[in-house]
Amino acid sequence: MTKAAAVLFAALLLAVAVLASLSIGPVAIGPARAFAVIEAALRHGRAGLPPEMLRDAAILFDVRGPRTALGALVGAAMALAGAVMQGMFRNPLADPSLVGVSSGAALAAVAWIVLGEGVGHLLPPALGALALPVAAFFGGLAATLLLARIATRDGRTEIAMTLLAGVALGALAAAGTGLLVFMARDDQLRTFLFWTLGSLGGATWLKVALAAPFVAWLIVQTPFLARGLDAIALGERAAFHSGVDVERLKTAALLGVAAATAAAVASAGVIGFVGLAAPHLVRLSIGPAHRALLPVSALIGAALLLASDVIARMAAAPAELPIGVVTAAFGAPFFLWLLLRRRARLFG
Amino acid sequence: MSALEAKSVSVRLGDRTVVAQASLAIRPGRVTVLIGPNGAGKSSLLAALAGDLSPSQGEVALDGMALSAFRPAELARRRAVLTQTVELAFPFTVDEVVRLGLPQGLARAEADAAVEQALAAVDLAGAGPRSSTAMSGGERQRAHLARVLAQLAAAPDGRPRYLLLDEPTANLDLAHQLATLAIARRHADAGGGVLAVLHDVNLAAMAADELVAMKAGRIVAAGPPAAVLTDATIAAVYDVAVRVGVAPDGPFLLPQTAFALKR
Repeated sequence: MTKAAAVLFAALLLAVAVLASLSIGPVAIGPARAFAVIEAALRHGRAGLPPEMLRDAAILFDVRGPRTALGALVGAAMALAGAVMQGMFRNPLADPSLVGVSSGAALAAVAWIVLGEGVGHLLPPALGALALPVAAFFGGLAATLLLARIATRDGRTEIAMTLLAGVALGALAAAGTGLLVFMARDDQLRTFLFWTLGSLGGATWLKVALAAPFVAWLIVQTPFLARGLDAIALGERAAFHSGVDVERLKTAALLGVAAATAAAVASAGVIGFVGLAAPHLVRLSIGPAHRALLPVSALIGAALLLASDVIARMAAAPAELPIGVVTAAFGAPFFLWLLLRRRARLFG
Repeated sequence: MSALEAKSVSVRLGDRTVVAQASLAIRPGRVTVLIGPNGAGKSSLLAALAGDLSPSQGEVALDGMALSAFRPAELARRRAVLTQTVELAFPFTVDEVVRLGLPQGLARAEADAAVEQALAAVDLAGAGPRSSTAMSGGERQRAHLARVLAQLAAAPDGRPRYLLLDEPTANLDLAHQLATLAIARRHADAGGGVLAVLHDVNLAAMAADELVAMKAGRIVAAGPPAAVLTDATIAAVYDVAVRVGVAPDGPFLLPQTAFALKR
């Protein structure tokens, strides 16, 4: 597949996933109907809609719209972050959880759930609902900053050190999380468990607006990152020889990934697998050059997460499966099958 | 006078001094070759000249300006480096590998021409679409040489450019060893400077305008091959006794006549 064709194909896939996410649900709204409602709303405003459209408009604009936007944003962020991490660590198994974002976010989330009660009811209700994602965001970011601090010496960030220290910090955060889980009541446990498996339920435009700038920050850096990550595949020394400011690259990659992942985890919980698998799927079809890999991974990641969310909504309707269960249950076997089939191309 | 120059440079790795008080100038139009036993500090000196390692004492200067004052992208236009082992993390094609060397913002046609020329120079014309991870060690070595050549070819601004090659002939068959040294010579003839680390003393003598012998971090002899390759220097540098012969083209030695000296 040529690179232009890959971008087009991925964009098409995302468009289909967006339509599916808007249409499918307890109340089916076909694509044609959805377009009609959206067009009418654009022309006359929500208030000017004919009464027979009001119900569908409420579903589209207040429920599925933000849910679809958040899903696309989170999927793109995780896939892009995974691709950047794999490139930077020169390791096909790397993903954002390696730099401690997920474990830091999880620790902060459970700390809020278990210990935050006393403070929570003091906040106005609108802020109270956001306290958990905000805590998770800062937990994730703090873990990464701490890691960068540990792994940087004399202004140089050591890649191997980052990886190993990330594992150690992750274990430490997991210990803290375990301790808090041990202290938690049953209802708190349930909230936390649901959060660790991830969900796009409860998406609002406010959550979308809060997550978007951080994901956008990573996206706008991709042209700079792409050239540097290509070069760093040669090793850090050779990347420097070919003119890449390696330290600047590592800082930009680490902070960009941390911010985007923290935003994704904060708004949808911990959703595994997309960050690891989406870049691999793309690499298998168009090769490892990051100029195409990064944008296509983002598109594919968004499409994958939306598709998983549709399945999560439908499989046990009217209840919802945690989306992390879907991404792992469908994605992992497919990924294994791909690996076995294309072993030679990946590692040969 | 333009040169890439080490001025009494010492390099420390951890608590070991691997290069001590080394002074060396790589000048346009000349091929300088570093020889010496394993662990003599050749690669570390080359790394200091490339800007990878900052000297603990002394200074490396490019055309009179301290190397540390250059940004990586500026440096990449003035010097290119081929290191010993480059392991690619992902299966890039040969074409993509060579393009990694090109500076950003190069016009499409210029970039294509630079890549094509570089591949032809290393006898890999037409190998662009192949996966670099599926190549033999020698072919991969040449692909990376092409990347380094493309990096310098794409930046002609009239100032001399420097080519640093760390064991460029390792893994190569005889024909490609000679071809690689011919590339180094052409670069010098075109007004560039070359520093190469070589293990084969005969190839070194053949390729070098100036031969520099290192031992235990110090430069122990430097000059034209005929002046450096003497029985006494070889014995001192390698702890090996051998009679150096003289052919019309320069000195040579036959390893089969050598025997190790007791240390």
